[in-house]
Amino acid sequence: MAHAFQRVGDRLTTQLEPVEQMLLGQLIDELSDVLRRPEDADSPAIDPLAKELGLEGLTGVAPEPPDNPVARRLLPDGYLDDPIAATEFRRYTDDSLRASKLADAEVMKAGLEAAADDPNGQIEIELVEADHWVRAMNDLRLALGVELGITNESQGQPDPSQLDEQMSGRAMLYDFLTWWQDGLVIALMGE
Amino acid sequence: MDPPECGIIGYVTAAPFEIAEPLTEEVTETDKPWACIVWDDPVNLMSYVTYVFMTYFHYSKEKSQQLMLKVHNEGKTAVNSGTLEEMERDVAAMHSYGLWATMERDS
Repeated sequence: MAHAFQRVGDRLTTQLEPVEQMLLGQLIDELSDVLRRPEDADSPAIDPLAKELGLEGLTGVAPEPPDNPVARRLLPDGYLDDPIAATEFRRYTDDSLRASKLADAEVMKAGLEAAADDPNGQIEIELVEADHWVRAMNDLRLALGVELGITNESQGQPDPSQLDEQMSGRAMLYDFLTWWQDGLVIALMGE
Repeated sequence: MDPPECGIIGYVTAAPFEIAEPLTEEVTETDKPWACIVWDDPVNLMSYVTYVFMTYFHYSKEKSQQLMLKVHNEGKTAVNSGTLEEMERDVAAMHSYGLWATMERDS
């Protein structure tokens, strides 16, 4: 059984079963794949110097909003009714937003790997890492929410009896992450 | 005492954001022509949204909870206002936390 996060001084501890480590690790890999920008042979290469200087947004074409609905939820428009401003916003923020989310996912993945190496499946998180964890958990939940069709209109989760085996597994992971993330947030806020 | 436990089939006590239609236009001060709007979302937890406002904006817990409830009840709310550059930074930060945020001009 997984354990809720407990705060001990500047650290947070939790435990995961091997199957939980594996399922969450797979989910993170899927998320990271979605977050990596698809290689587009037609797009002009980014000037290495511009990239080094953090100015890659100033060169090349602005990235299109993603087609993948999960990526679209994770990398949303910054302007609602102004496509030109939304494109400009994406041009300057897309790279850093993807990098930030990938970094969050990597921190969580490293924690899961540490749990796999521990006989009790124990995970210890430094307080400074916790922001990465809550964000990664949230991105996983957002991604699962898109797959499960959880929208403002759907009023909550789909009827479990209507889900096939794969989606039932996704719904269980969603519920698990909801419980786990809420526990981490509460531990962080010191309640 | 043992910590609470939960299997992969967790019992969910946390209340996610639920349905709400966008309703109101937020008023911003004239010297702060842009606002960062956060929209209601059925996935983001109320506890997490409060945590984000406390962590990123350094708002008090009370103010963060009030803003979170406003998003939840009214569908959206302005969480900060300022220059274009400042608010674009805030909107991008909200996206990094997975909150659904957009720019809005004070018209």
